[in-house]
Amino acid sequence: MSNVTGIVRRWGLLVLAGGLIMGLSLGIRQSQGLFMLPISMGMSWSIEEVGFAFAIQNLVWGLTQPFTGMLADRFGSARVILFGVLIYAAGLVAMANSPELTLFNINAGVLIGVGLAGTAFGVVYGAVSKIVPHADSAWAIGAVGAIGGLVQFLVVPLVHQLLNSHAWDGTLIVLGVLFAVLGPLAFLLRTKRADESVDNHGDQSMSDAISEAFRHNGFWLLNLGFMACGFQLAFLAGHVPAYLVDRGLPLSVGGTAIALISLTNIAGTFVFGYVGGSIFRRKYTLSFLYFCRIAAMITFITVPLSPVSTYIFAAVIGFLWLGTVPLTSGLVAQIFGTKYLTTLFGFVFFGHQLGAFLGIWLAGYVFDTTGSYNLIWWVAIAAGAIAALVHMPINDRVVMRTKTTEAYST
Amino acid sequence: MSKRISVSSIATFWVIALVVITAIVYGFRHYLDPVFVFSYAYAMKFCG
Repeated sequence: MSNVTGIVRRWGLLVLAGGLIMGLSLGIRQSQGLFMLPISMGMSWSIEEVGFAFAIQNLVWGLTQPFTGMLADRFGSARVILFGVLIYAAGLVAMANSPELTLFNINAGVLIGVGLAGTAFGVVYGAVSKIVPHADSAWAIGAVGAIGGLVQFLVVPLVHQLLNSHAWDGTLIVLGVLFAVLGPLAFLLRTKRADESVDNHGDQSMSDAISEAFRHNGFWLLNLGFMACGFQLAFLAGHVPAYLVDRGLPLSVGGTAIALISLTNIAGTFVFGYVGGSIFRRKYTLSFLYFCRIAAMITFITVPLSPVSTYIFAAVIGFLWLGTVPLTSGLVAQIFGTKYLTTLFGFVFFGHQLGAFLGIWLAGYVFDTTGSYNLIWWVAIAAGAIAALVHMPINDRVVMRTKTTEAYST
Repeated sequence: MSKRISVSSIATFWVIALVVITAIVYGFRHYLDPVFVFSYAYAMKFCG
């Protein structure tokens, strides 16, 4: 316990700041669904038109993540996180004041998409991995994920309550102000600029680092695995609540399932963040996680649907929900080092968002054409199997650049 | 070599535990609201 107390004393504030910013960023995004009906009715826009802005947001988030990563590696994470918080907050306030649909698409899609790229996993995990020494980093990464998960769990019902008391536009402004107030916490996540870093990169430039990663088979396998993760999570988050309601389960069962996913995600993110690297090899932990997801999905769709089977599935899948993120980020750091981690993770995350886009769209398309989610469940299971298998052959040794650099310097 | 754990550490631990439990209970109660469940389930199909 005294060891844990020491780690908390050393890194507690940094972990709290990272968790709060990441949790609020992801929590507000997760609660956007609750705004759809009120905005649609208030502005006389169709649900599809409002939903299109959120689809743009997902793509913008994925497309801009490599660039916010480059900026974070080049100029330090704190500035990028602060910029992300401010642009996110501005996007929320601007959403509340969008008189026409095009402007709403720009505010909700572009501003908040860029804000997410500056405040969510990529930059925050990157900062923590750079700041916290290796001995304490597994704990710190796990704890940031857990605090983020708890905040996310709380933001969704908080937004629901705010919507009842402040209407949709007032709620967006409250959230924007709340996030902006937390902005200065970004300074607790100050990292060195790339030109000050003393990681084992010698004088490697950013373009060299990107080209090195693109030539590494493992980088593409990680991309493929993370794309499958995005596909699965987007399908599960987007369609399973509706699946439960459509299959006639009481609304209270659906609500409990959503809460269980969010709650066990807190524990899962901590556990996978902690054990990956400190106890087990990350690539095998990732394979294990994907195999567990497959087992959970096959069991859920083959046993008769009941409240008990739903609760068990929700608890298990929630535990396996975001554990992939610290493991994938950790694997990128393990292979390529931390100097350009945020940039390289940004490219991997682009694959995740591409998968997420496909997951949401394909699930809706399959349901509309076949009247059932059966086919898409099996596609998600197959995607999981691919992800589980592609992580195994990844060469997770540190790239040989270190020795080359030393050889040149001696 | 065992170190004594200070009273403030124990107090901090229990305060954090209490805050987390309260947060979970608060959140869980809201997740059971049928209006919340319906609007969440309906809209998530469009924004994932």
